[in-house]
Amino acid sequence: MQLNGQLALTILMGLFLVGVFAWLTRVENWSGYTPLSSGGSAVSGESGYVSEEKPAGIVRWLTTVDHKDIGLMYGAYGVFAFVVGGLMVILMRTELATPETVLVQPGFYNSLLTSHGITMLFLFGTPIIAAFSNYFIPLIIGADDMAFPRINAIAFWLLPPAALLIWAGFFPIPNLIPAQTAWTMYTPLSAGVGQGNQMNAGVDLMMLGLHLSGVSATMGAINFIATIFTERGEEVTWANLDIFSWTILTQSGLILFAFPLLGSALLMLIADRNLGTTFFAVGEGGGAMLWQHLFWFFGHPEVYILVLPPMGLVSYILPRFAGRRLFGFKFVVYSTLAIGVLSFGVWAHHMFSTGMDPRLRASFMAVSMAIAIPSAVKTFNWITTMWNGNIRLTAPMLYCIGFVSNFIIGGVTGVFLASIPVDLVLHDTYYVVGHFHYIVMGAITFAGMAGIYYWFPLVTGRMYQRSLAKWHFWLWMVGTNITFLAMILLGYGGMPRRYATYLPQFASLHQIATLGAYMLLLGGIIWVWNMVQSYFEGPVVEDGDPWDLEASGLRTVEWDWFDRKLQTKIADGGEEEPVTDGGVVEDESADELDTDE
Amino acid sequence: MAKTNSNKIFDRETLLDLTVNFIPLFIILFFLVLFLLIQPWGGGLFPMALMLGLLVIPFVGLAVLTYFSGKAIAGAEKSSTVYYPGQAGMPNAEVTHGESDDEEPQALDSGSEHDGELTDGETTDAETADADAADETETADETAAKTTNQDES
Amino acid sequence: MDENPGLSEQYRTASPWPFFIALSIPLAEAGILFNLFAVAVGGLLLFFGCCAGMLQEAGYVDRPWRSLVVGAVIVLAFGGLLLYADTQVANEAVQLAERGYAVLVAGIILFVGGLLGEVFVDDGEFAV
Ligand code: HEM
Ligand SMILES: [Cu+2]
Repeated sequence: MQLNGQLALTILMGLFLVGVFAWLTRVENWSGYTPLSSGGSAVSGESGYVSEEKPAGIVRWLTTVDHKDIGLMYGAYGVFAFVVGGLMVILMRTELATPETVLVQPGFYNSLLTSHGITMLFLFGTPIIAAFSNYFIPLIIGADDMAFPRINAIAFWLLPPAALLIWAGFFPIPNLIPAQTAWTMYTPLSAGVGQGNQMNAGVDLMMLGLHLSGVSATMGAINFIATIFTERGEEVTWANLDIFSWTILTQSGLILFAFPLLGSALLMLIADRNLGTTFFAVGEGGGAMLWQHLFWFFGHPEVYILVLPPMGLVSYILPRFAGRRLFGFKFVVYSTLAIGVLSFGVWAHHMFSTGMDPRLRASFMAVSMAIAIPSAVKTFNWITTMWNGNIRLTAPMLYCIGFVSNFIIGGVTGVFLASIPVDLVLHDTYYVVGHFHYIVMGAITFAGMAGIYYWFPLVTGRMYQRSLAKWHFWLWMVGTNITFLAMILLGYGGMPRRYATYLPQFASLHQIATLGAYMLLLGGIIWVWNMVQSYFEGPVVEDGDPWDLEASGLRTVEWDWFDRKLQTKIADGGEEEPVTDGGVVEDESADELDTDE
Repeated sequence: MAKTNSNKIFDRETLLDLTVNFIPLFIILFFLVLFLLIQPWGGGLFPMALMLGLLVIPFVGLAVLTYFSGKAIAGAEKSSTVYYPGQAGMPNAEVTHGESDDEEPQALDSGSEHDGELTDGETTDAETADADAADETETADETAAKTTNQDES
Repeated sequence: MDENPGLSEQYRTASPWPFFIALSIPLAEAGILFNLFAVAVGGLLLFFGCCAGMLQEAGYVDRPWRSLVVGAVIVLAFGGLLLYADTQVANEAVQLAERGYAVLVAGIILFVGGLLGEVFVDDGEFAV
């Protein structure tokens, strides 16, 4: 590097540090913070402005350690990443409307593919789950906040840099290209060896970003484990911990064992690329298989990291609109824990066709069969909960039912893939793509939507527009099934995955899949519009129980909290939010008097 | 069998709850035996050890976790008031079962005498089980008022 | 409107440190990985400086200076490790020594900062 480049960098860095220092001094001063006033206990003894009220404006969001604010930021972040990843895939599906290359070159297609996968799994999936858990778990389990509020904030703020690094290759920076390794980053391609272009720094940046997101997830997981173990309210015992907290606890355990492993494997790969190590080198090092084992030892738990909390959301929300309690609550809890353990024993079902020892393969198949049972048990519990129930087809309930339906297809296709002979035929075809999208889109995202609609009134104090929500649901339900069923059929036909072009015989199914993707896009636009417009102009919720859960005895603590919040608002003269348009939620719940004074 | 503490905790009902995890355990065991009996790829100490280890480790892991979680959940059920999940801490929360004034040695006769109904909404509270079997749940306002310290504004 | 009904008044809801700690980690990582001297030094300073500040704010320590020195020791050890590793690597293209020097410089600055603070800053005029 030339000298004046270094010099400029040094000056910039110095100025930056001085600026940070000056700002920090100001903020801490202005907070009137007296450090030694009371022997330095963590909570008490902090006087001054910051500890009682949040600072105003943007500074509030940059400095907040309140779990609800952090939950909201996770949510906004996840939604943004979802839009980015969604637009990437729309480009890809548009290209795939024709067999030959028209819109994007194959290399760029591979970049989009890589980024789409990583964005959706690490920048949308994990954060959107963290949004719910941060906002609601302290409320539900009766904790004042997370166990480590500051670490909570650090975990969130690691994510924006992670996204910038992961997407860096797409920015117009000279000599930087986006990674084309797919989200699995198999060596030797990802080690940058050979004649390809994957030695580019863009790939390193992507891996650094991924590493950061892993650090963030691990911090969050530690925080949740500590919170659920130690900060529960007195009345919340293991016997009545809610199902969402159980799934988050299990997920956090999985994260704790899986993500550090990914982080280490990534560092090894980065070292191979930049520092001349030979961990994954063919011949002298671990070869191609080492990476695959390390990656999938993380990767399979990762899919359950992503699906367990959404299962928890559905188990939490679905009974509220079925008018009865969750059937076999403890079955769901124990099967959640079972999935948690077993998910570490199945990783090589992603590697059946690598030529590994058939004896090992057989064991992995056996455990993969065993892990299907807890998932199936949950499915039966959801169905039984709805059976003969008093079902109300609100938007969150529709999404819960959609979740169950899609999860069945995704799960059954998964069990087929877990069978070695079937997998040898279907591996690396669109069947696999169909399988996991039924789960990541059809189930995980649907559960996220159920949560968003269910708690929208609680978080925003306003109601969304029901008819738009229904449009959103049906477009997504039909779109998901069109797109991903077409992919399953493509896989049966032998269409390999990760190609920008294909043989003409696959054209019609690909076009159907593209059509479905556009339905998803349309539904997504409706959803974003609904959220934004309702946030500003939706009818104000004045009832602490907008879903009318009290009547069936299904109201839970977070709505109780919301109710108290509304009460204090009325007591304060309600100066907060002007009632714009009549205000009353046009809900089934006419009784607004159920609130205790 | 001696009336040990764990016997009280792992009563019939808890064991029924745990069946959900016995099934995957059984599947793993089934394949374990199968692979021991039929070995189309031949033996060899190292590959066999790996193969069996891949089955034994998840088996043991699942068994251990099931034991401890069962103990934690059933133990908490017996030693403190059980609210419905997500409703603990609400001012007028309903109690699903468990002794309200939790000093009573309720575990003595818990479980096996009561209906083994697995669905929620059951009443195993000793006082009300015979008195009012039809009433599915019991509102324990006074208990909740005692145990929860919600500060109403 | 009470944002947190039922929550104790004492609960602190804002802290300036986490944001910068999160920023410092990618800076330090990228600086060391891509051998960018100033970025590595700056990232490490920011990280350990903010950690010290946050520890003090959270009440785990009374004054930040000794945390700085502890951070300095860790950083110096890591820098030394890099220098040592450099002697073990045959590959000429791999410049671990330069990275090691950057880390060492950060460690020295932290050490000196902590030392000066410990000796010269007295609690009364203590602003940060
Ligand atoms: C019901 C239990 C499940 C079983 C038995 C199962 C089985 C499998 C198998 C065997 C594969 C490898 C297919 C191949 O590459 O040839 C696979 C791929 C995949 N599964 Fe599942 N699966 C299950 C549930 C899930 C869940 C819940 C998720 C997501 C949350 C998921 C996400 C994925 C993903 C992302 C891949 C593709 C990875 C890749 O190659 O890029 N699966 N599944
Ligand atoms: Cu898997």
